[in-house]
Amino acid sequence: MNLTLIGFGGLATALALVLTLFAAAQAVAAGRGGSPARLVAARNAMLAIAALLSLAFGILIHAFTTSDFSVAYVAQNSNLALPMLYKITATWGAHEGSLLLWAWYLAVLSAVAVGLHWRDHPLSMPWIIATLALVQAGFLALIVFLSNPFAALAPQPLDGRDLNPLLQDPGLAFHPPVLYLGYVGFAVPFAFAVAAMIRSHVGLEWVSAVRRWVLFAWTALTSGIIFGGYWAYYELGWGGYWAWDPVENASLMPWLTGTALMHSMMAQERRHMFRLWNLFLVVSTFLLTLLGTFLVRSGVLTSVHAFAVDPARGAYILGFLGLAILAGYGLLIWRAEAIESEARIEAPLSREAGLLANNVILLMAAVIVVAGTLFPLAVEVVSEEKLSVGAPYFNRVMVPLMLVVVMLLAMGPSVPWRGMPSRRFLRQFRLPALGGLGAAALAAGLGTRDALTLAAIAVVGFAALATLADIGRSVAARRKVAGCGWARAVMIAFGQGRRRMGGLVVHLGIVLIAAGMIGSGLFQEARTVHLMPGASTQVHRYTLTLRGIDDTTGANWQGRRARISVSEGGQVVAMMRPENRFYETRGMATTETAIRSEPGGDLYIFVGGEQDGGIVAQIYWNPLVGWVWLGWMVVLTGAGLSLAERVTRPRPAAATTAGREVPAE
Amino acid sequence: MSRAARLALLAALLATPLPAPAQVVSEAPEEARVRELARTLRCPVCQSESILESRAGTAQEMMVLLREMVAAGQGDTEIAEFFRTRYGDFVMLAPPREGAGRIIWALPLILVLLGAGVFAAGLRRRGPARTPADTVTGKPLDAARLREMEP
Repeated sequence: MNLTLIGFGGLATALALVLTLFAAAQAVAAGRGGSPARLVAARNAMLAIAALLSLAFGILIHAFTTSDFSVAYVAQNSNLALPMLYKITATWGAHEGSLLLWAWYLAVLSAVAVGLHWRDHPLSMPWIIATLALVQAGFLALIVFLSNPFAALAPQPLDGRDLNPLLQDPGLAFHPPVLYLGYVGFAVPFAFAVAAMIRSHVGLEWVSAVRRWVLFAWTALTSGIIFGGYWAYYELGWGGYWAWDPVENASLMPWLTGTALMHSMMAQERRHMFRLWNLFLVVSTFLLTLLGTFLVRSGVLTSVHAFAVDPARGAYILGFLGLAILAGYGLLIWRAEAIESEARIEAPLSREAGLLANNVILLMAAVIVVAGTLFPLAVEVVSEEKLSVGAPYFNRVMVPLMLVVVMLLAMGPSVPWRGMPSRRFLRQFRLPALGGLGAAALAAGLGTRDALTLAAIAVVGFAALATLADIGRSVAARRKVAGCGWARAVMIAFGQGRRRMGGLVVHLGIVLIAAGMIGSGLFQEARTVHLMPGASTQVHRYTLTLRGIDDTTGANWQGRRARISVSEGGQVVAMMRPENRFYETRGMATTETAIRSEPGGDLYIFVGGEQDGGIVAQIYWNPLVGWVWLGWMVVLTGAGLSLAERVTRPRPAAATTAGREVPAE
Repeated sequence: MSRAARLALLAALLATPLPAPAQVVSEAPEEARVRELARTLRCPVCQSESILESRAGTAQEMMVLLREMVAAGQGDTEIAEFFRTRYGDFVMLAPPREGAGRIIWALPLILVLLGAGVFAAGLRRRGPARTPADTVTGKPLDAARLREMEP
């Protein structure tokens, strides 16, 4: 029974691959002037692909929940003793399953995009479908021929080899699905852009159509990155959340270009500027999501995350990536001459100039992350040398760039289009600037000497105040117009100006994240101590005492747990229990850090091992680290607000007369 | 341990006065500098972790060596050179500023110059704005036009 079900999963995937080629062929024929019926056929094929892949993905999850070890992928990544949550999340825990997750997302998002935009974009639709279908074909071919999650294993083992213990954590269970949603979300804007370029119709149409898609993908990507950082913070035990690991960098690259895109699209919407630039950014962002997926999944990077290492797939992946780059940038170069921006930047103190600066700096940052990540690979290919580009390099280069971005973020929203008098500009930002400088002076007075740290404090203080002032001004204006109280004015401002207020709230969230990063990155207190039972140590304002060490066990692991009491002013305020675990099936040890959060910071304990009857512990006080997670929630709120803006969907007059099914041609 | 048991234990702890700790351990004085240096050295057998983060045997041995060198009062460059000669450029998380490493360190400077150039060029192309119109094709299905067509 199970065997036939699994066989059916493989069959559904293979059938979906055939249908992608069919859909692409029909869509191209329709786009080149063929019968509209072909476009309908292509659309139906896309819907069928979504259904087939949903079925296939469901079957794979079912194989995991029922521990069907006749499937090689399940046997390699699951175990009878694995808790049910991780049995489900193990589905995307390694190469094959995560590719299927990617393909399934793409199929579902494609179907949604085709359904949503079917009537509004009849002329672009053939090319949108063709692009999405071809991308899907590239992924499905890889899945069917080289990374089949449904491949059988004979003889069937009695038990599975277990999921990588590092991935047996709720944080990581949700990191890949959210991150991939962000990656795949950029495929839809890419398809619209390709359609616009092929039709040589690069005006507002594609930009207005994809604004929400870009915002949605950006929000998911941001959340995925933050989840990854949260997981690293909890599970890896070195007291931080961002290590400039190549795999982290892989997700940051499309984030940087996607952020640039989201902003420069506004310039095209409002002023018809940056047309070529927007197409370049959307193509680059999509290509970087592919690069990110493949860098991680091909195992070309040796890092904590690269749990699938198979150089045999490398050739295919490189080929696919190469084709995508050629097609994307080729189309851009082919159309470049026809795409001229019409409006010019009229003043240096204008929204346009700010957006240009934002784009230039975010793109510089993206180039640095891409180059820094790929450079060691390039050096290794060219020469026999092996070198590393790690945290010290990236911190040195990226922190100043990001400070400039935060500076622009603070000013941008309140600088009007087309320019403003410099007197007004100075008056507007005088108070926030004084506040930022005051904060830096205060920090200097408290003993901070590092120039970059002081600059960071000044910039973040300035940005927080300027953004809050901006929100305040909007509310005050509404209050004046409506002649109502403050509470009502807040309601009106947030209810009617959702897009603008949403943007400001996102900015505020980013400022909170920046503040959390400065606090935890630059003011961390750390101790490395050897504690015998009964002995204490001091960290921050707490006294930590080792009370004992016990044995402990879980469903599929055994471990040792230290009991550490935390007291403040002679009163015990908490017990903390950092653990070391050993997962027998994989023969791997992991550590479970103990973390106690309060608004001012986190107390963080990591036990490295036992020695002479005591423990060797790393204890950290991470100031403001919770603000990073809090800031993410604020970002999410702002993005939700902006997405909730009412849609005024254009309705082509022709479509109503020509009928619903067949697009008007 | 269940939540109830945990709370009970905590309550018991709160009720009983703490015995004075047997000893108060503080960190070895040079440990802060050890940490700072350890963050710049890559564990050669692990996957992009510094020796501070890694618990691999090699990383632990390197930590011991590092502690000895710091305790002996050696300078940062001296220590870096030692690990570089012994384990290769690979262990330096900040790439060396010579050989191939020069390229990656030069990149930010080149980018800043390029970026400034692009920004200046974008501003210098200033001029009177023309009426925005979709001159490229001017086809009827542009979203803005569609919105105008709406009743």
